[in-house]
Amino acid sequence: MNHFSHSVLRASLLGAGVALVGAPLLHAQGGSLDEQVSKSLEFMKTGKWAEAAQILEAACNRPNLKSLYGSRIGVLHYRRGICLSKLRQFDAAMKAFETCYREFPPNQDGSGNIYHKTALLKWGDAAMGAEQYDLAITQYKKFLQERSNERGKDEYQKGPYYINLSICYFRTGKLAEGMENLEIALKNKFVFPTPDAGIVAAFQAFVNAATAKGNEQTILDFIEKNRADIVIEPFEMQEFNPIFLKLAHDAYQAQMERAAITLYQMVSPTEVILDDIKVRRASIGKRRGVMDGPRAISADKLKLAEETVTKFNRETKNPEITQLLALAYIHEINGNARGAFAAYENLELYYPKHEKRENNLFQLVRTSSIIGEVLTTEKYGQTFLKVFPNSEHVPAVRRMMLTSLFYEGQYKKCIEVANLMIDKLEKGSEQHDICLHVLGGSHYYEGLYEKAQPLLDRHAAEYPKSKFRQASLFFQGSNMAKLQDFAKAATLLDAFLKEFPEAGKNPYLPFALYDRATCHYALSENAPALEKLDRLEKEFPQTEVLDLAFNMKGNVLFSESRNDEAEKYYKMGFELAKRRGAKMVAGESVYLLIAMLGERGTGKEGNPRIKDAVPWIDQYWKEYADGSPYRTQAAVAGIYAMDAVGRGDEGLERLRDVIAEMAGDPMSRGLEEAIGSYTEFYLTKNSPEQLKEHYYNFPKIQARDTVARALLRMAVIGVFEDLLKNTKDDGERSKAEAMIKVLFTELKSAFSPKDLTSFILVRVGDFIREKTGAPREALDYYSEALSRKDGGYKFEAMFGRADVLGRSKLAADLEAGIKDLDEVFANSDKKPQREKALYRKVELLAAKEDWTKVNEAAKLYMDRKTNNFSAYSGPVNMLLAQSYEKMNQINEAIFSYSSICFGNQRGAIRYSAPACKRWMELLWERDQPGVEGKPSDRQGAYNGGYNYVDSTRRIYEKMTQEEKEQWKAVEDLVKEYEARPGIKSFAQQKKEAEEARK
Amino acid sequence: MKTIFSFSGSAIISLMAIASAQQAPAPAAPAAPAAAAPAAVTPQQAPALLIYEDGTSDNAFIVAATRSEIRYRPTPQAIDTTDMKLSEVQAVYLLEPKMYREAMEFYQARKYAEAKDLFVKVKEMFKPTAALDNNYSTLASFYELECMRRLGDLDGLAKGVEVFRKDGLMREHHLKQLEIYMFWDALRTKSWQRLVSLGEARLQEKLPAYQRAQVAFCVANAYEALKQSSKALNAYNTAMVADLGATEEIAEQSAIAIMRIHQASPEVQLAIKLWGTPDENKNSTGFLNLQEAASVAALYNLTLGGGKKLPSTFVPLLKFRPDIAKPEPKKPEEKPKAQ
Repeated sequence: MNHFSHSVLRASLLGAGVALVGAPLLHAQGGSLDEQVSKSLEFMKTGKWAEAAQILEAACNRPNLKSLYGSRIGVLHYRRGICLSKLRQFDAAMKAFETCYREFPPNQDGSGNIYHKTALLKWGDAAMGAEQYDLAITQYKKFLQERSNERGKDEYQKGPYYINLSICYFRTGKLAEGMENLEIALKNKFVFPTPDAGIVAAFQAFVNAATAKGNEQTILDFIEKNRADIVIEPFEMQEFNPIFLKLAHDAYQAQMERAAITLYQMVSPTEVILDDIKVRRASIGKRRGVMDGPRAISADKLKLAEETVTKFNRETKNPEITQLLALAYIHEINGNARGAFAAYENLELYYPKHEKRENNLFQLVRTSSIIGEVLTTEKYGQTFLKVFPNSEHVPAVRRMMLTSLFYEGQYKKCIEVANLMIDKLEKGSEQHDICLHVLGGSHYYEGLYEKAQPLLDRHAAEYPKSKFRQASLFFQGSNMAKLQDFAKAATLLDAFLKEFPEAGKNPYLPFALYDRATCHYALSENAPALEKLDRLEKEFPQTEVLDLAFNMKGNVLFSESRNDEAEKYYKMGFELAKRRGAKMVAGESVYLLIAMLGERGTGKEGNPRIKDAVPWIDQYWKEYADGSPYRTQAAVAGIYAMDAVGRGDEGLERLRDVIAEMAGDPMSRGLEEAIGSYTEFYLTKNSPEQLKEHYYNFPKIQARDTVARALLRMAVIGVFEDLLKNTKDDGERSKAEAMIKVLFTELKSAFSPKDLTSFILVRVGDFIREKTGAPREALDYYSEALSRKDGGYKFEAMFGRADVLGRSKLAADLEAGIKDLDEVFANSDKKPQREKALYRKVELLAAKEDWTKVNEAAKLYMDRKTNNFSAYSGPVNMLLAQSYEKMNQINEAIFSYSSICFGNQRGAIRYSAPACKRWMELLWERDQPGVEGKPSDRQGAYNGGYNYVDSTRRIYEKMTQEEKEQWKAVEDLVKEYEARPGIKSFAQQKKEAEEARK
Repeated sequence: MKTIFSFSGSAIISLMAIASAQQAPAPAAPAAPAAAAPAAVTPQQAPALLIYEDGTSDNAFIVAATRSEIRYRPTPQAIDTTDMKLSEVQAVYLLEPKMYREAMEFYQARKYAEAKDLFVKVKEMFKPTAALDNNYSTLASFYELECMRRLGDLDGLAKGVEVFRKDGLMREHHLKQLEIYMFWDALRTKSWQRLVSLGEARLQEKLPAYQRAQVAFCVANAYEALKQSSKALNAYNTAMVADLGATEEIAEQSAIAIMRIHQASPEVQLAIKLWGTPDENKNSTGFLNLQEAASVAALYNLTLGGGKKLPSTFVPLLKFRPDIAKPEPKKPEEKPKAQ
């Protein structure tokens, strides 16, 4: 029987005990009626309902009872009904109560069957037990209508009455009526009183009914209105917590999330329940219980509740766990993964012994990874791996730890973690695959391109079926482009673009196109560069690199002197970057506009648009200069435009400030260039002597800014060296020579090598070596750096010294230089250093005319498998070809020259033009006849030369003067050969071909 | 036999002293403490049961008490009083005063101002029994503090805590709550660094859920003030979920703070600007945080707002909600089970 009635029964029993006192005795089967009544009462008092019911049945079946005893016999039927109700024989109970009510009305004076009306109430109870709720409602109502209002008669307990009535209404789906009666019970709970257990039972029926009807708002409104009455004292909640949890769960299953959360909120915390129980137990001492107002406090119930809560607490079966799990789910499903993360973190922190900890902790790692709490993912991931090393989630956790770090851009941490893991993982495993991918990718994103490349190459080779293959191949090609090995990068990126051509399936596609365009541009392949950039513009208008692509397109167009178009693209790049909040890129666009529009110009007219640069200059310094990497370049590029609008001093001052800013950081790059530009502009208005004075007391440069001060002094030396070079006046020459000597003496006394750090020694040495006419003056600085054991910069100093010695004509110097370069090449861990060392070695050997060794060293340089060098391919290839020629290996020489002028170096005119000319000459001299459709050497020389000139003619205007001369020398040779007998001109060959087609 | 009345401290005030103190004119009220007693409230005798070692008991109406003795009347109307040493009884069970029950009704109904007024009255009415364990004067005084906390009256709370005497407060979580007031005071005085260092340590300890929510909320405020947005967001989320939002004002204010932080973020603002345009970047932090803010806005309407309307400032966030693929109903294996 799922309703609240036990206390009512007890009250009825006590009342009935008095009812038949004094009834006449009558002997019958099983003893007299009086004995039967007495015995049945004893059984009822001791809860022996079956025995009592049996005796009462026998008593009721006695003949002529009604005529003998009248209305009072109704009491026996009533008692029998009570017993049957207790035995859950509700149908029989209903009949007993019905008999009591229908057949035994009280006497006219009200005596006799004192339970006549109460039988209606009990009939209702039994009907409720039999799940005949409509009948129960009818009987309950009837009881209220018929009961006597006389004090002491037809007493009933109002709380349970309204609770049961409301439950019947809820069970029949009549929410409004049910709520009305429940609210009567609630509002009068201290008056009736209404027991808490009854409240919970009715509330449960209400929520079940509302949930079944999908009426979420009714639940919420009811709770809001009656919250205070539904909240149960904590000491009783051990019993009711599971009910509220179940109701919440049911509501959630019915997709009533708000109701579910509100119901979950009604669950009492374990600590609070336990506290309340303990305090109440202590407060009643050894009493069995206390009635405190409407509240019954039972010692036994408190003891049992405390034991149960303690047990659940010990076994980590707290209701809070269910609540947190539910809330985690609700938050995540509604899109707030951070809320789910918080819930899972609570579970891990406070309920680490929960039986489902493995899953909870896994969810914590997962959600922390989603919200990008990288270090937390790492922390809990480590805990998971330690506690659950054999879990099925281990691979996922490992992946999330690393991939979380990786995708959040915590590349330094990735490198740290992956480096620790990589050797411990089984090669070929998924974990090793991820680790290697993340390690390579992290180095790539950290800009550690040299370290990244072998890792990326390895991943590409070892894991062709990796799920990271696409990303890995992109990193591989892109990284190669960052290493400026554009030829190899081009090959890799082309392969990548071929394998993953669909934009929908390749998120790296636009980035790869951008990198590929960079390679084209670097290799002077402007047309394909523009083609890639056009694709980006048309096919990927949303790509992150589009603003950068616009800038690059501007650069390509500018390099082709298409300034108007370049300006348009720079502005497009600017607008897009500005719109997207990409301040750095917008700053780059503005700088590029300054650089193009602010060009000094050549000829008498100069640059007619130079003043147009000024608004951009102002904008740059107002909005984009802070933190911009282009500050120095922008200050340099804008100086002539500022001068053109009469703001030259402002421009110069800005450049001076930039120099002073950079002076504070000895590692800053571009300082030399800034000083160079400043010097150039300063000298347009001042004499070299004034420059010297100015540079010796340069504003805002501090005494501690050693590098900047030394560079400024050396810039002055450079000015006087230029003067010496350009003057024809002997007096001027003598004065300049004397000044240079003085300046070097002053430099060495002001910046004694002994007092400088190794870094500054190398930097001063490099400047003297590269920027002055007295490179040998640098040797003191390099030697000082090399004499120190722990000063660092050993290879830099060694390289500088070798470079200086390599300019000597003396064999001993050259030999010493080569020795230094060998050491740099063998031991340096910096690829650019090793590459340059090997290149310079080839040059030094050539200066020594040791052609065999030139050939060996050049071939070593060109061996891509060993070294992967490409920065100096042009000059090294030239020397390789020359070495073949010098060794009289003409065929190899011809092949080497051709690889320069018809290969990737074609755009590098200073190498390709001389190579082409020499290739033509050697072929002409070899003079082999044509075979099997292949033209003769001489015709081939002409054809090759013609093609070279034709394909490079369009960049003629971009060539330096020296390159133009080299190129014209090829063109002249082509014309010369064309005029020779036996050579068919290109026009002639074309005509013949057309005729042949006809 | 150990009783629930533990003898503590040296300050035993004699019953005579209490009795005469009750006759003396009331002292001037302290300088406007929030917990100032209304002068009109008359101290009342507290109905109680004196429970003996053998489990029997007597009714008593206590008129004064110290930690070792009580003075009581056997019936409410009795003229004479009896003095008794507490060592003579196993326990003194103080019956719950009706007014306290009514105050708790208001408190549970989240009507904290009304509840506070009644608690103040109960506090004063039953002051004579304030020395006894689990007495209703101290309990009412404690809940008066709680009302001030929940009403956001942190100045009043600080003053109330200053004069609060915890003797007689028996529940462990009540005593812990007194420690939690330290965090509210740090919030009131904007002692951000202190809040962070104390709060992070406290959050590692096991606390009742409603206290965890409070500590997390105070710490979140500190992180927000210190411009550590990510930590603030995490702490506000902890505050929201720790007790499932049962502390409705904390859940509501945390949700507001989360939306406020996201909305102020330049990255989120950019994501709003670029929403639906070709320049939108769905992988950017701004975009993801915008969606998080939108989810919290939706959850505000769902539950966190406690029935309040989403403030108009945040209404525009709703349109940036992620596409949520909610599972079909009746997939119990994907949902948490009730224990």
